[in-house]
Amino acid sequence: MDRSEPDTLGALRALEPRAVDRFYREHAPSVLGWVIRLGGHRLDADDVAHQVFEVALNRLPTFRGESSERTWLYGITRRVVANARRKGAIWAFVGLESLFASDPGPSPEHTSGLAGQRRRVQEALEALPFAQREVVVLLDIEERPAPEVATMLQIPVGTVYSRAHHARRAFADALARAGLTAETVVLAGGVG
Amino acid sequence: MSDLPPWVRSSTEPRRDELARFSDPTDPEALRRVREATAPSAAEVARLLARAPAPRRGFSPLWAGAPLLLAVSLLLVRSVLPTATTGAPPADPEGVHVVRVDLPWEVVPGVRVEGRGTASVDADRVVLDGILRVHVWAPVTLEIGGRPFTTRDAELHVAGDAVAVVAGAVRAPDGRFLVSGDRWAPETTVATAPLPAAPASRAAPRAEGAPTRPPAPEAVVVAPVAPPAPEAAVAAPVDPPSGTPPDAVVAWADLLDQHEAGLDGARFARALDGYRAQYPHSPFAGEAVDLAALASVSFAPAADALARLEEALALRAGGPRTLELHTAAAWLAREERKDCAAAAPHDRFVAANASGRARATAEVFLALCALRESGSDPARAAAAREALRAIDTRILDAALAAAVERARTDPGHEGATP
Repeated sequence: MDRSEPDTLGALRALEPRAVDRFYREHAPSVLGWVIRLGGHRLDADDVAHQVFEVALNRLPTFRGESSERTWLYGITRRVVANARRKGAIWAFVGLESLFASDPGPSPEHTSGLAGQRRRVQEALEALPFAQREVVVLLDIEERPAPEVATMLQIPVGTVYSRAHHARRAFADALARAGLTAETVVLAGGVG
Repeated sequence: MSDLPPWVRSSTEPRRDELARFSDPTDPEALRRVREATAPSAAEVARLLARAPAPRRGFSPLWAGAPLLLAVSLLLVRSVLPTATTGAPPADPEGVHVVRVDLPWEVVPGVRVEGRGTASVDADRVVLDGILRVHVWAPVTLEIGGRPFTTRDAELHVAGDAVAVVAGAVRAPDGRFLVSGDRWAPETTVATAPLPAAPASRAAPRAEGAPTRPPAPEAVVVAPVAPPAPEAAVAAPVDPPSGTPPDAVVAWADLLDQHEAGLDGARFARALDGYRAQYPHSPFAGEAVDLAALASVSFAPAADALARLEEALALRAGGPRTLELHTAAAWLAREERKDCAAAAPHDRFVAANASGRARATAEVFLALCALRESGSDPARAAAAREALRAIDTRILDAALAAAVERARTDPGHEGATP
């Protein structure tokens, strides 16, 4: 759904159950995908995505509908992901990652198969600065139109292309370093 | 309508061979497979959908006034504490952060800094110093080398008082707009004798009202200084930035350097304690308390580590690491000392201030502890089981979820720690 229609917006702001349920089901796959791709392997994507919706539901009564629901949710997602990443970094910094961080570490189960492959792709994405990673995720991986990406990131379209130009080269290098080529990356059966 | 003749545009259109050089280096097929490798699986989406958070019940018209009330409260707070930020709380009363590569810091909402140096908030601007990579996605004035740079969306590299723009647009102190690939550095004057003075037209345009330097007695040569290449700005750690930062800042940066070089938990904690002893009034003394307390969990006896955590909580109430301190204290009390009653105050804080799995886990431990401590009081036991039933076990780890299920259904269960 692009911008919320007035009736839908009113129902969302009033937290009517059917409207909220529609909102959640429509955007859950996107939010989860953003967290997986932007947050890296150290985050518990399920938990962080849940936090995004907790924040969103608390703020829905004040959502004015001036942007699309997706743009609004993306803004919340990047903040929640940034906070989660910073908190995860503290545990690693004081050597308590194994106790308190969600990432189980590079155990054999998590380095082989599809889980291991996702981890390596996430590590390749993490090689990019966050601003470039966002553009690669939204423009190239999720194939959103550049004007939509510009709106979501609140930057000019020209800046989207500029970041994409730098990001694509860096991402191609990161994929190559990780040994991820078209031949080595296998299908994971994702939903989008 | 423009008065420019059409050949102005046509003669500057990129040629086909020029466009061909801007090729996308990413293999489209590899990109498609990357997309599928990182897409959430149907099972993951189903799990998230099953955990739909409940909206607040009892929507009240007062909600409409809540944002206004919050905004007024924030304005009142800012009027009393002008250097406070509304984003991440400062690590110390003076709001100076030492920025490290492994601890990127969102100084204020919309400004994140990485690299090696310092970042602080002064009134309406973010003051930066060091070799830094800065990401901006909100309107802000950055003070670099004592000069203001304004932007609302950009990525830039800072090296001392020089700036290189990687993406976006930045307004330089002289009013020029810097875009991707542009570099800016202050003019320097080198006194030589005897040379004619530089013509006024060659001097960089200064913003109106900007201070001007008086010429040296000898002739003046204006020589712009090239900043380092953006790729090298973060990859090559260098000595502390230009100027003379306070000793306490240098010592703090050195201490973090040592940690990155491989100090173990015990030596790191000792170094932090030494820093506090040497610089008790440093802006980083508080952070030293927090980090030493957290690091002690990995090596100190449980009682000692717990005492350090509680001392840190007492000294730094409301500080930026409070949630982590409580999380660590609760774990120590429960897992190492087997004392759920001692863990309970910490679990209560986590349950009230964390979200998602961390909150649910704390709620479980509180309820299990209450069940264990209920003894022969059936009312307390019933209340504890009711609390357990309200917890969504789908977001817990498997062992804890199983413990909750046992406690819910077994009337003789004493709520022992799983």
